[in-house]
Amino acid sequence: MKSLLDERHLVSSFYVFFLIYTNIIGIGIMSFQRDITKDAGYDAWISIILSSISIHILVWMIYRILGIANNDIIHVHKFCFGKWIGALFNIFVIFYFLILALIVFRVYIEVVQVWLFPLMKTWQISLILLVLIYYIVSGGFRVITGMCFWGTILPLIILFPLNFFSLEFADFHNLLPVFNHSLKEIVSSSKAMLFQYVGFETLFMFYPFIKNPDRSQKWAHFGLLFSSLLYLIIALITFVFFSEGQLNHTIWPTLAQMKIAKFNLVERVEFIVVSIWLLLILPNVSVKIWAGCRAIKKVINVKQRISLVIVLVLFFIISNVLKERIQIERLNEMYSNIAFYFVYLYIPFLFLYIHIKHKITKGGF
Amino acid sequence: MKLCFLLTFSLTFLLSGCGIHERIIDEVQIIESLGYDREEGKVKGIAIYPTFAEKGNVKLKIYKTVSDSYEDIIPRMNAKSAYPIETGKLDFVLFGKEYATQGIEDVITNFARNPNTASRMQLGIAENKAEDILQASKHVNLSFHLSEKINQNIESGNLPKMNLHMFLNNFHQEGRDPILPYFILEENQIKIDGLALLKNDKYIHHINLRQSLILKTLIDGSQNGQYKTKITQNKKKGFILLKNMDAKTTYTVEKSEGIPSIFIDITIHGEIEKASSRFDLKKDKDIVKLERILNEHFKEEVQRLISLAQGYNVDPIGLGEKVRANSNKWDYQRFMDIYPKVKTTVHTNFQILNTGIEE
Repeated sequence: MKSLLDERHLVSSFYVFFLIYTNIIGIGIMSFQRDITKDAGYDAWISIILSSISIHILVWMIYRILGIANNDIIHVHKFCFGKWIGALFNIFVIFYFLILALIVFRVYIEVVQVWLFPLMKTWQISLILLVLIYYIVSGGFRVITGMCFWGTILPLIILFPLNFFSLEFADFHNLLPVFNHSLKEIVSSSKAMLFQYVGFETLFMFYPFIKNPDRSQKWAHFGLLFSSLLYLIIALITFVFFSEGQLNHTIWPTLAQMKIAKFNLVERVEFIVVSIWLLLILPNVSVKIWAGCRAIKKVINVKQRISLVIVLVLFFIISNVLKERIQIERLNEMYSNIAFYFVYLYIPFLFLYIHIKHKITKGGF
Repeated sequence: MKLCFLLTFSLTFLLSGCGIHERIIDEVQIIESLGYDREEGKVKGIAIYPTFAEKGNVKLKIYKTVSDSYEDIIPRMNAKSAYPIETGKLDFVLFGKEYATQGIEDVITNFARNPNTASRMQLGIAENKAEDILQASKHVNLSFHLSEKINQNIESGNLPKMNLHMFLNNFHQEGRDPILPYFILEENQIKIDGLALLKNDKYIHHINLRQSLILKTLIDGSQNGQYKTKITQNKKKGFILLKNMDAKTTYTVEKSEGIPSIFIDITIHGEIEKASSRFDLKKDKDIVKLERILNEHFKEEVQRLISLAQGYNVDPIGLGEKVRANSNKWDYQRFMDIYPKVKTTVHTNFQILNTGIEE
């Protein structure tokens, strides 16, 4: 299939791996263990696998949907629901991406404040980060993809091995007994796990920017597989490192388990961890903001650079308004409910709808 | 784009100055050990801090303060210090026995709340007053020697793995009670004299160093440690000192509706470090005999330790944890009720690897 865009804007299909990975691994990787063990206890590793399988199916569906349209979701909505109702759906998509970016952004600031600089004000951190994000996003999609590449490689080399230091205090009995929880508990834990995968839907927006999009599907699945493996390994390490009671008291288990590592020169690794983690957060937020601005451009025809500035100013204001942890958590909770319906109901619905519509109009696109 | 770059560049440099609470090593007062005592209904806090008068020469000094509760001990010390007190390097917290019998949960969970607290921080309980121990430690003039004492004894001595993380893990876990090193003063020198057994966060009892080694083999399987015991071989009484005890312990839980019974299988490989010259160690037959004697001895000691723990209703070994790992329905409250009645069968297999290079 020929692409709609000029060759110089495109990225090769191989980079979809990094795009999917950085979109999934963001803020959740530091704290997901507590959410998923709430229901399923230490059987929650099963739900990581289950939810991963379900997301694989959804990625397959997204590729079918976009393959028919050979364009992004904005176009699909217009085709499926007409100009006005389609626009309504598109506005929802814009907010969907931007709010997700906002949550990741705000939670990261919170982590910096709690772990590194308790006296630093939100506006100071957010200002620095937003200027940096502006710099990345205004560089265009290829620059963002480059950030995704480094955001994958560097944290993986530096941060991931730090998890293994905690195995010194591992107690593998923690994992026993296996299959101790009912199916219902596993499913509700999988639902909590789903929110950790949210972000892969930006594929809906960057699909037209992939060279040979139909060949990129395997990289998308690889990226997904890799992220779920990472989740699985980190969760298992956490489970053997923390007793279940202790995990309930730990807000950021991954950070806490890296903290046990100790080197001669670096007494506290968490300072390094939180700093390098920014490399993951930056592309994660950037892709989502880019997706939002791209959608704005296609819906109301505003130049991407202008909408980007407006979005970033809004980010600045809102992240300063959200002061307390409770507010952030409430937003997070509300969003994960919406994301659940969007991902598990709306994507399959769209998948069926576009196939039927495609049949009726006899391939008219 | 250039403007944007300049803006980013300048902002990062300008803003990095504000808000970041700089902590330069010369301008903060790090404390390395902290002690809590209860004195006439009040809490007494003792902190040890190093001063560096000249290069390579550390002098330890002490802050003491009294308050009606533990929370403001550090702020009160701060009022005495020329530089703000930093707890980031704090790696040893000691509790007086009287303080520990009333519970140490608040102090420890509040340390855990602070991101600056090291997970490897060591805790301890003093036989009498924490103040006595810390006062004696002042004369050592070696930074961090108290926590190093514990670490060294975990590595090569009779203590099982311990630190703040392990304490919190055991404290919050259903089915295992925490243990802490037990400090005494001997000839005005600080000595770790075994382990303190805790129920939840309260001091219950303490065991000596020999029992600590047995507890260590039961908890994580030891690799070293030394063990002296009095035995009778060929009707001759004498002492024997074993070293490099390499032990592995496996637990099998018998599932039954009533009271669970646990089968404990311990394999110990040891070397003879010193033995009374009255013993015969030349012939293989004698060695086998000695092994049999030690086998019996360890079996008895393990049983004694378990019944001691059951008598005090504490579970430092984590028998509850073993039962939990083997049962589908886990009810901690119910287990606590039946814990003193849990049956254990111990099987030991002691092997003497060698007796040194001379007979």
